[in-house]
Amino acid sequence: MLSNGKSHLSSAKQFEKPKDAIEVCEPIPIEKLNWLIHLQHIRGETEFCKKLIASELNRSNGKNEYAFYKQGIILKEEGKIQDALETFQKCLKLNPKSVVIMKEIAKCLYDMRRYRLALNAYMEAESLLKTSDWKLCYFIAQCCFKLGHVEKAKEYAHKSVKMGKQEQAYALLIKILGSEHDLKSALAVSNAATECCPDSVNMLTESGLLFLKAGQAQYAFERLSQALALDPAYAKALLGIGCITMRHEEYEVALTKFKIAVLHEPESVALWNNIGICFYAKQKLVAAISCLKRALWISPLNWKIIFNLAIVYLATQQPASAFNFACASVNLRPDVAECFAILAYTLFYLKDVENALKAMTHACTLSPNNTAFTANAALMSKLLGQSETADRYMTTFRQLVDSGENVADEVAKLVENIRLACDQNPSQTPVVNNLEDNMTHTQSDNNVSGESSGKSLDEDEV
Amino acid sequence: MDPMYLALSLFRRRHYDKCIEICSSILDKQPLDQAAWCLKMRAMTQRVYVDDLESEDAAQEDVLDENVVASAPRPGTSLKTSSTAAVPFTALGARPRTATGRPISGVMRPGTQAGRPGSALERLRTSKGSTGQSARAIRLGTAAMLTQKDGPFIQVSRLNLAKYAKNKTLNKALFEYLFYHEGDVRNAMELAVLATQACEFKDWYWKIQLAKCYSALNLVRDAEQQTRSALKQHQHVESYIRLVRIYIRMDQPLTAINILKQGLEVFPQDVAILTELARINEALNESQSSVKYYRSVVIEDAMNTEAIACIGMYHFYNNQPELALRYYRRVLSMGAHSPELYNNLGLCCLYSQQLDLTLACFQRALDLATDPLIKADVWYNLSYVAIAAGDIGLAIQCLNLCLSVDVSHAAAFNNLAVLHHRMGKIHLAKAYLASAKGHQPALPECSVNLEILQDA
Repeated sequence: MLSNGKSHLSSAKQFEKPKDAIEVCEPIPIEKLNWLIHLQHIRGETEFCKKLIASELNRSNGKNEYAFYKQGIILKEEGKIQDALETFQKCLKLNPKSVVIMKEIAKCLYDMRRYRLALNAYMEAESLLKTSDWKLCYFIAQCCFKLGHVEKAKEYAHKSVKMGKQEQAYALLIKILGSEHDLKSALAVSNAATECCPDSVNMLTESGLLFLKAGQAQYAFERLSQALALDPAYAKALLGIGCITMRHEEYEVALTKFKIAVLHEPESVALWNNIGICFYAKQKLVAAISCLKRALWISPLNWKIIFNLAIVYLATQQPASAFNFACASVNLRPDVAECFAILAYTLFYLKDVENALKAMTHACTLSPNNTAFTANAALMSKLLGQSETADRYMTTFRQLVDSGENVADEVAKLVENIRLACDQNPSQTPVVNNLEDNMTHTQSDNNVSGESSGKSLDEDEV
Repeated sequence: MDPMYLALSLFRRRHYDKCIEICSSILDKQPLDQAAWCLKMRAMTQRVYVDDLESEDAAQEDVLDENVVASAPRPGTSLKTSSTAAVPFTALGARPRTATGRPISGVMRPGTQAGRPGSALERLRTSKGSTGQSARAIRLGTAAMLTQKDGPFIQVSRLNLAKYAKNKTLNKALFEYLFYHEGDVRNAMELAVLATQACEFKDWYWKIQLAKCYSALNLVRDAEQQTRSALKQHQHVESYIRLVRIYIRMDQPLTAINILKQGLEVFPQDVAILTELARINEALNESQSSVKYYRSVVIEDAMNTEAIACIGMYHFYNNQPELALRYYRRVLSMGAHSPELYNNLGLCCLYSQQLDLTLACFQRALDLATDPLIKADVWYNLSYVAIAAGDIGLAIQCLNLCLSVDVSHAAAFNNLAVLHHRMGKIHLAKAYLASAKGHQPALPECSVNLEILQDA
């Protein structure tokens, strides 16, 4: 008999066995092959693993908890969530106190979008657990958020952040706070998050965009630059940084940023819109129109693009086309004063001052504190010979100036001209030039930053 | 005048019916007059002749298809995948196709119907019948029967094929009669086999005819062999194109392109070969090279409608609607007068800001459209006119009209859903999206939109 040195021990054992002991067949342990199941699973040999699980379940009369558990995991990986859920429920019957299985069941329910049931399962798991972990809290917060229980979601997200300091948890908390428009707390959380995970591009960008929303462009620029240093082609960060440079009127720089971003996200409406605005600012109107058209092609219902197109068409001396776009933007957003204002400008260029005044009056009622609208309404009523309305608009303008509203230089000049006109009737041309300058003002607040929704209409042609 | 001479003259002037009458009267007098018999056969063939290269191809019988191809071919090497899922999202976005997977250019082309997604069984389920060669052959057969009141002209079953196969003056006419007029592929093939044996495999004509028969019977590999050997004997444009069609049927577009390039070396700047190349390139989603070939087609043949329309389409999807408008206007001035053309003109006008012409063009398109599918597409496009004017209510009405004409227009369902979602009717939007997905599961927009709605 060949031995490798230890055989004498085993043979010695055999001898130690009392001769009169009854040969009782030791029951084969149920979990005998669990290690093999796990090994096959993690090696990706799903087919073999399934067969093994089936035979193990058969051998144990459906009592092998681990085999059930693995079967559920495999089913879930294959996308058969309903089947996975049933398997996990069988598993739970064998071991009703298992938190792991409860969590899996909740995850399945969450994936099937049955958030209330998922939340119940998570809560049960939490009650079983003595010390809650960050993941459980995170999932509970997620469920609550989906169900619309914002307060509870916030509470659990806070807990999760405290326990784990994980990026996911931070992101969720920021999202919850963002949905409540609580910009200040969101900023604080994002600051903590960037400290905690300084190499996360997502977090850096998120906090940069939050700073941008809060109007702190300097901090936003820092954060976004950090994000871009880690990933120079991250479109979201490029969009944000481009927006900041655009505000500083460095259109060349902004354009280079957008050009990199658009290579990676060719279907982003915001990017194409901002590129169009950059070209407009550089007075390359044809390029501006084609970029804005492309944006409109992707998202035909976006009123901001239509509005910008109207402005650009006005600049190319095509008031009829501009009028069409202005009409469309009014139809889409009848609650925005700027839309009516641009409609008034186009009508003015089409020499229909009467209707232009009507539109401008509407714009003034929608946004009574805008000095430019008031001044232009005064001008139009002056041109129509309605000096009483003109005087009324002039007095409101003066009141607005007294109450501390910002007045742009062009608007001030325009008002000065109107005042002169009351005395000596000047020619119409200088006034029209002033009007054109006014219009550029309404455009600057229309650079969309942030992400467009993924909704799209598709074009069709026979 | 000698009746035979008159009949020949009528045949040459394409008065086939009169020619057939005169031939019949000659045959009544002299039943064994071979010249009159042959002429009558030719006339009857010519009357129903359809250019089978430029007509709809045979529907591929997937159920009986024994040529197994790889189910996951490498990108760019297969036509089957490129038509559905693997459309690259370029800066231009995916170009739309009709529900049957036909690329939309304003010209109908052969072979695009066959490449539709889904197997033959699925096609049967979706109530849209498939019109293939088999159906056409049946129609021809019945049409031929109708015209002959006193029984068929030739009793095919009583024909001594072996005798005629050796007769060099008659066999070709007889073959074409059998193949095109009778639609009797099996007997035609028998004749072709006998004839090619009789001329000791030296006539390339018979090899091509055999290939035609083989491909009609779905024996694609045999057809390939015959065409290749015919090409060795005699290089002909038609042979090249037939070989290419066979390779496309086997889903080997790259081989097809190679063959066409060889053909171009023999026949430089040949319009048929260039057109074929352009079509294949477009089917592979390589629109730039496709347009390059179409441009060379136009240099050779300035009146080629297909090429002009396709260049127009390329410009349209390249954000140059003004240029596209010029090309389509050229097609219009050449005398084409179809709803598709007016529809395309309307879209070009819409996107190049010529709104006064837009509605007039669409009005014409609606007046001319008789096919419900095209009418549906025109209404669908009209909804875009409404959207461009910001009039959501009108857009919804247009889409409803579109759906009343074609109930399975998935894109219209999708857009209705988006518009209703905008109006705040979320449940209605969900229902519309679900039906869009039911009608065309491959449409990416509705899956994405459904995802968004469910997450919200």
